[in-house]
Amino acid sequence: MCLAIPVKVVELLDGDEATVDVGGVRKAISLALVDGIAVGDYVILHVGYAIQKLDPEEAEKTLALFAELGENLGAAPA
Amino acid sequence: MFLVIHEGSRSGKKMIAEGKLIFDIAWDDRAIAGAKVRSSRPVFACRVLEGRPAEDVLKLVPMLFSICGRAQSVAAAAAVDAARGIEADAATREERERAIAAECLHEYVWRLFIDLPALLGEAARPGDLADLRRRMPSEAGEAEWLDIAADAEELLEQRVFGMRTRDWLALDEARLARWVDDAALPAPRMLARLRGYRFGAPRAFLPWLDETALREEIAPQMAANPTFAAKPLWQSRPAETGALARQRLQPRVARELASNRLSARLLARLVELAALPAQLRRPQAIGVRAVAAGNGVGLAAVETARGTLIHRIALEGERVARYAIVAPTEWNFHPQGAFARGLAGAEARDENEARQAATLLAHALDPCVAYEVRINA
Repeated sequence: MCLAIPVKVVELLDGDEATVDVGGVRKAISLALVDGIAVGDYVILHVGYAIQKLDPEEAEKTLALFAELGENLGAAPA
Repeated sequence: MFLVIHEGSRSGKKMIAEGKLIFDIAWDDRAIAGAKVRSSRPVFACRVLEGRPAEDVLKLVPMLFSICGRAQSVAAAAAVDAARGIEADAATREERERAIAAECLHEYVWRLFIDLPALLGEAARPGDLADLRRRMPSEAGEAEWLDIAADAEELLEQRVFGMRTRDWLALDEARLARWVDDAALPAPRMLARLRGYRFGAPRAFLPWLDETALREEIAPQMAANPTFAAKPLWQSRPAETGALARQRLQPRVARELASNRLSARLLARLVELAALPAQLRRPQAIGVRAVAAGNGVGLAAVETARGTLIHRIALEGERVARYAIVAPTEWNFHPQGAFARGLAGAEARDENEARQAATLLAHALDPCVAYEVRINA
């Protein structure tokens, strides 16, 4: 069960890599498994690889859902 | 449960993170003395579904989960059906089996072409996985599935087995031994190398959870114990799940397991991988079970590359009252589970060997999040 948190691509790098913004932290990832990624796209990451491109609307909805989760912190039931 | 949170980059609100596993390995100059597992995985994140209408579950689950997204969606749909007392029709059941088989194929190819080569100093081949992904559309009809199956068969024949999958599955003991000796192919070469490691003996396996086991063993535990999802036990003991747990009685896997622990886990994956093109062509009902467990409660178990995934939903009318997920990672990386117990006593002459042992066993047990290995001498 790994959460599909969208991250934004902020820069394309050489060698099929890109820089993404993960909650304010910049990180280099691989684009080897997905095609047609541009700066500004949202992607889902798994262990350093982008595995899915999201359209902006989808990304907004997903981020809103995770923001809601963040407030409740997914607490264990009482 | 401790959660990793960070500030959302745009809203400034706190955002949940996917978490990770931290392995603290105690090493005493000759061997690994013990391994502590800590998890920051947000295993209760699915509680965001609580209070919502039941049909939202089917929309939100695919948004919440990434790498095992199809299995999560299938488990959610099957659990909702069971909670409502609905039986899925044959076409739906077939579609679900194909979805999880395709995802399993993707995961096994990832382990085999990217992760394991990186651990053994072989060349990773992300390009082959990228090709496979391009051929697997998210929506597929009957004709597309047959094409996907044919493409998968071709990829496995050329890049993994060096022969047709059904021929590989039919190899007798002597011919399989010769295949493992074929150093020209990466898969047998890596299998042969894993035979050189002696640690990782399994203790207890999670058995096949059929409808009776789900109803009588799992359902009461999940109803009574809210932390079961974080530290699941089978009959009061940690248990290993995954390809080896499913295939341990298969003759060639059983023979491998008798002497080689790490390689048996890889061989079990290969046995399942070889059967996946046929499962995509003509799906058998092998991957999904679901049961009703009382008023408005449904459970589903779905077989994934990493092991058995369990969803439990409790409905009050058409609203979700409780939602819980038990993922394979929580079985295998239980603090007293297969990873922690399997490393104790592993020989390691230096810190690098200790790290390599931890990393190889982690790979064999396949956590679904990133992990960090810390060696404490």
